[in-house]
Amino acid sequence: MAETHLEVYRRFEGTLHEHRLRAWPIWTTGLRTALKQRRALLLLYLPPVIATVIFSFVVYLGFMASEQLERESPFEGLGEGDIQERLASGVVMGVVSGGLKMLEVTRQIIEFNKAMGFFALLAVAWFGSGLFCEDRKAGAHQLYFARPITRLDYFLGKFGVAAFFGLCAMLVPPLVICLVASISSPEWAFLKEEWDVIPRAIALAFLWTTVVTLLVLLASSLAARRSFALIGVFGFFMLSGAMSQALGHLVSRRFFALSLGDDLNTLGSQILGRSDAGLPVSPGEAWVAVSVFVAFALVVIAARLRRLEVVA
Amino acid sequence: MSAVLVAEQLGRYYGQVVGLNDLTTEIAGGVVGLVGPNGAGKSTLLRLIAGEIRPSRGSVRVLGHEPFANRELFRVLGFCPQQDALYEDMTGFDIVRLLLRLGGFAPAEAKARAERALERLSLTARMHDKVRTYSKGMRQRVRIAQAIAHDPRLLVLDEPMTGLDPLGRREVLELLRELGSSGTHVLFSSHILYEVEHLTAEIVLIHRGRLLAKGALPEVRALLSKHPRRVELSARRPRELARALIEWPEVVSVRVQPGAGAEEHLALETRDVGAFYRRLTGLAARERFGISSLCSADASLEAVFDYLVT
Amino acid sequence: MSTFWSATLILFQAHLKRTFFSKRALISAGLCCLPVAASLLIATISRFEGPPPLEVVLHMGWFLHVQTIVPLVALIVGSAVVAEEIEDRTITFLFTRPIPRAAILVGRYLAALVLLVVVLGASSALVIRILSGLHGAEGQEIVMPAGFQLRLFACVLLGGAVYSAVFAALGALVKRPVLVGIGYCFVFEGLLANLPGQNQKLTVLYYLKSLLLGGNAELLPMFSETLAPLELATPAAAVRTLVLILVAALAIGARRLASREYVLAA
Repeated sequence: MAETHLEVYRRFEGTLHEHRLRAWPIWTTGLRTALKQRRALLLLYLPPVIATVIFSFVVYLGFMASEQLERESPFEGLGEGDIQERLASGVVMGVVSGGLKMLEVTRQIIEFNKAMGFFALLAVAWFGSGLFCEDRKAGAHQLYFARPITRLDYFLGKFGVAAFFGLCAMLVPPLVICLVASISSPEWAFLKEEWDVIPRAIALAFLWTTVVTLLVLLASSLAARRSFALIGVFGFFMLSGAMSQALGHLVSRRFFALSLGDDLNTLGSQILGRSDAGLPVSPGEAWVAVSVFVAFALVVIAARLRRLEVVA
Repeated sequence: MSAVLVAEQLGRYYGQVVGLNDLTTEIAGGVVGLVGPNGAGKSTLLRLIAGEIRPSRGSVRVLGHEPFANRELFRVLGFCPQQDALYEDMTGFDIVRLLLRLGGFAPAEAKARAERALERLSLTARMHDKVRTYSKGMRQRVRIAQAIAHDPRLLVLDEPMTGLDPLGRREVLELLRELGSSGTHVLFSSHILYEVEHLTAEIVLIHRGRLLAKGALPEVRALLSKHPRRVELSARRPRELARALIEWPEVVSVRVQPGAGAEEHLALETRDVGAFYRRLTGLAARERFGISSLCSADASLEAVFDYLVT
Repeated sequence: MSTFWSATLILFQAHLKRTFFSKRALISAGLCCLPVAASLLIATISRFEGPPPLEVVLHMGWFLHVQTIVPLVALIVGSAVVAEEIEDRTITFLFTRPIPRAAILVGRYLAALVLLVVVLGASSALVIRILSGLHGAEGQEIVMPAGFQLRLFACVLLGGAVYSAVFAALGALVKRPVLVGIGYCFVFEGLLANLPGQNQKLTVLYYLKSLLLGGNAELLPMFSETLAPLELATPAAAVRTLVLILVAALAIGARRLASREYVLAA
């Protein structure tokens, strides 16, 4: 029997399957593809990993030192030489323990969490900037939309890929440090006294990753090339920062909310339970600005995905 | 006459992937088809010839020049790359004219040559339209036009028939034949063996980065002694003929195959097709088997390709 | 005329129109409109409550224009000079012509430079014009120091030319010029230019600062806290260094382009 295979992809118009996770294959395929970029993974995640290891070690040492100092009376029953030796070790321990007290574990975890935001941005930008534009350039979106998936499935699959790499940088390091702090603090003191840091860190990681991923996907949906999308993402941060500074200083303080970075910093401080008087944007303004941005990004991405869908 | 192409232990690697390996050959000139399956190294060889990339080892000389970034060579070389790349926002005419101007032609001459080249590729009607509005076949014609516009001595074409419709293929084949007969050396790669065969008998066959065969197709076929040649013939009394043929030392096997209606054909394999034909002529004169047709079934490029590559 | 210059001229002519009608040009023009729009906003607001004049100049002229818009637009336009040909795989056509490869970089760079001069120049001139007409809080006219507008204008143009030359060279040097360019803008220039010490001298921004403020006894004290924490070069030395950076970037890029092979996907 004769057959023809025409290379024309038509939008799927049949009945969708019952199962709900239609975005799953897109997500896993995207992850598999991205995880093959070993050099990029190494470069992007080595700094957060090193920082996490060092900081975990500092937290562990601090708790150990303070515990030991509390347990021992340092000079009891010792000769002169021993005293000198003990004094020396005491100095070290004192420094570590005193340093820890000075630094405050909780505050440090919070600061560390916020600092990871930069690495999350880098990771999401790298792995997410080509997700829509490269599909469009290669015509791969036609293959996707010829399958029984909706635009939402496609979006969620791609969003999941970029967000995964953001969460790896933003969520895992604080959780590791919280785990180290919990285990090494005497009688689980960290968990008992500072347990709320964990859900707060998770909430911040999700908020930051969601917003940054939407920005990257927005740029990817608008740009013709990945390089344009990258310029778009970093240009947006650079430009919104400069515009907010100029207009905030010269016209009205409300314009400081134009800077997405400042908005996220303000929200980060609020979520982590810290009030920072030095921040230029108030939490209310920051919530409004971020919400407007998220809504705008979703509307534009939806419109661009509608155009991607082939009506052959 | 000096060779158009001389390659000495030519190798090109892309990281750990071997593009071309230890290729030593000389191509005298004329129209030569470069054949081989996907990933054989055809494009790598053509890119080395066009000076787009450097050899990883060995050397290549084209018209006596080392090709990489060699301006002397580029005056007499026309290259049509495989990639579907053109300046989308320019017209076909502007592209060809620009490249001619860069080739050193004065504005008026570049214009005239561009028009002539595009006319040869039947693009005159659309040559002032933007390339982004062109079909795939038209884009391919522009790429060929820019390669031939400056009347090069050597024309290197990587898959020139890609994207062309049957009429376009015929036109391009005719054009290449014309160029070849006017003295231009043409080296082209193609997957479509039928087209290569119709344009030239001179082939270079490469596979997995190595040279498998080179030369005129019948000679290459004759060298493949381990593969007996297949001959098909029709006769009025096929079974009696088969009995006679199987006795011959150069005949390896004979099969009787059903043909149209009640007719039967013979398909036989022979080690020495020359001796077989000579003996068959004598037999046909002596006995009346009613031989009505005779053809060599595997002297085609496709058969050679199959033998060598599989 | 030598082959190099004739090929450069042909490429410049061919790419000038393409550059002006490209998407990059549209985006660059859009970006250049932002400081103009912000200046208009400030001009409107300042009728009622005028901001301190030097702060206006500092934020609009320097931080927004020179430090943000100029590198960004230069990145968009400059990174396309060679990288676009490689990414679009059209460079094969140019590489198989009897021209010096360096002409490709220089010819296309000059076309990009014309675009930059037009968009950045227009934007800068408009911003300066709008800000020059501002009135201070008590109605007094803002008097810009002598020659300041001209220096700011020169900073924008020369900055655009130098940055785009650096990014054009990056296109010939590295596989992902945009990424490296972003890193250069944000990390190298952004960080070093704001760190105290001599390392500022490694940045283009330092010489642009010097061009704006250097040797001006009237201006220097006004901006010393925010812009010039260390001794600046004289404007003449700054211009010389900037031109040197531009020429060096193009020379390095051209040299690399001449010797490097680009493996293009089929």
